[in-house]
Amino acid sequence: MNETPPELQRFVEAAREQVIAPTHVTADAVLAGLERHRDRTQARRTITLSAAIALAASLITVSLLWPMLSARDASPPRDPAGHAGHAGHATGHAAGQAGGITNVDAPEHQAASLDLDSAVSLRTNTQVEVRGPWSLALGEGVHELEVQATPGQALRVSLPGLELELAEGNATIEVVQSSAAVKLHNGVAAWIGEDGQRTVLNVEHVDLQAPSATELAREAERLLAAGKPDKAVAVLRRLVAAYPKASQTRTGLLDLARLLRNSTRKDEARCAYELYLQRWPGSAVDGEVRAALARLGPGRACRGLDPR
Amino acid sequence: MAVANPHAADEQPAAATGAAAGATVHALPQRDMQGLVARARRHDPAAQRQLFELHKTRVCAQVQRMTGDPATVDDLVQEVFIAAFANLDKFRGDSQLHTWLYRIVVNKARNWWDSEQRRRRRELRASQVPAQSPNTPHDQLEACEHREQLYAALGELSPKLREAFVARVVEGMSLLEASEALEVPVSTVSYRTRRAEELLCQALGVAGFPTPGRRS
Repeated sequence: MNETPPELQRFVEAAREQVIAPTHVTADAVLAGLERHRDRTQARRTITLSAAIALAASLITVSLLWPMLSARDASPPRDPAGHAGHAGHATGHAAGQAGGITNVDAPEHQAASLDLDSAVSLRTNTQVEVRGPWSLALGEGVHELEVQATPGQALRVSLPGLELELAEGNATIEVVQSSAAVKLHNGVAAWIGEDGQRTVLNVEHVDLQAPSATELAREAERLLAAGKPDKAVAVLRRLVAAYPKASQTRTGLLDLARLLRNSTRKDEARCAYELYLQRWPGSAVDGEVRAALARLGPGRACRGLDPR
Repeated sequence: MAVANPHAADEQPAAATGAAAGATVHALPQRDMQGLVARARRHDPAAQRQLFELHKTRVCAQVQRMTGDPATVDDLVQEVFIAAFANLDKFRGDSQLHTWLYRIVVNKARNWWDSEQRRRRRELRASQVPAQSPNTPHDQLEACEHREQLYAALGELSPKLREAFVARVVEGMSLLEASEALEVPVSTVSYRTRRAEELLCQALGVAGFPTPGRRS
């Protein structure tokens, strides 16, 4: 298995042959160090708690004093004759109501900051980036768009890896990781190619931009690095289903099995290992995979990646 | 001295490294090990001592192979076990205890490598090797030089590449074991190891891979 270049191997052997000196660390020393560590941790907690209490006390004090302070600040300045003056303008402002945008998760916060044309209506369950009255970028989630026909205008929608133009009508767009599915219920829409060429969508047209095996593998790796193993599992399952024989699937299936096992989904982990053995019999890691299966113990039979 | 794969079996004695360290390591059945961990979690000093004695040889060897510096082993071994016992409640038991300990070793070694002061000391030591060992037999001296050069080159790699290389090539872990120990995908371990080998070959001025894409 080790195919290190022979010349480099000499250096590696030198490292491996280094005599491992016995450690002088004793259990007593470790336990004493542990005790000191606990004391330090406890001291830090005490300091943090004290600071938090002090902060809370300050906040309470400020909140109690605030009405008095603000009342004093709000008192109108007196003119030389002793009369109270008046503020010259109102503090309120009229926020322009542009673009009908509803975020089903945070409707109030979203609507205030967005600035789409009033002919565009967007219902979404996630964050969107409005780039202008007729331009927006959609992130992961489900988005329902409605555009009223406006002469000379069309809504430009940026999706992962592609651009869509919606001149009028209703469309539902689902973005999952690096792919987007667009369903045009009615109206006129087109994909915009990199060269600016337009490909008109049919009504009820579904165009799934399937990511490649490499993209899925990278996405899974990114999610893992971001500490999102559950999402990585979903992407890896998709990789295994979409590209059963790809080289990325070969390693991805092993990662999937490990992640499932670590999240105590043992039956699913077993299925992943078994599927690996079915698809790549006699591989270099055959023995290790069988050992991992043996450690998982017996369980339910599998159909593909899922236990029956 | 041939070094066996220390991750081959569950909580097995680290025989190869144990011989060097002169420590006896006893294997425990899985259930006993779980009981021991549970007691150590409850701050039972006897259980903590037993865990320390069971794993110290392996950890000691891993630290030395990761850093290449025997002088730093004691400090890091102590740090590793203190961190382990202080965080034992975070050990979920979904991997072997030695794999979990290995991750702590990796983190401690990473901190060690990150220390510029120690790196400078390492470079100084590397430049002094021949003068320090005038009576060493030729092949031993050569091995010593190779080792120093390798670790000096390893110090120039990014932590991720270095850790993959040490796990796979120096420790001799399989792809799956390294993936488990480093908590990265199998393909990533493979890529990083190969990239590390390429960079090390360049740094050491030795021939690299004669044909591309050989590692499975």
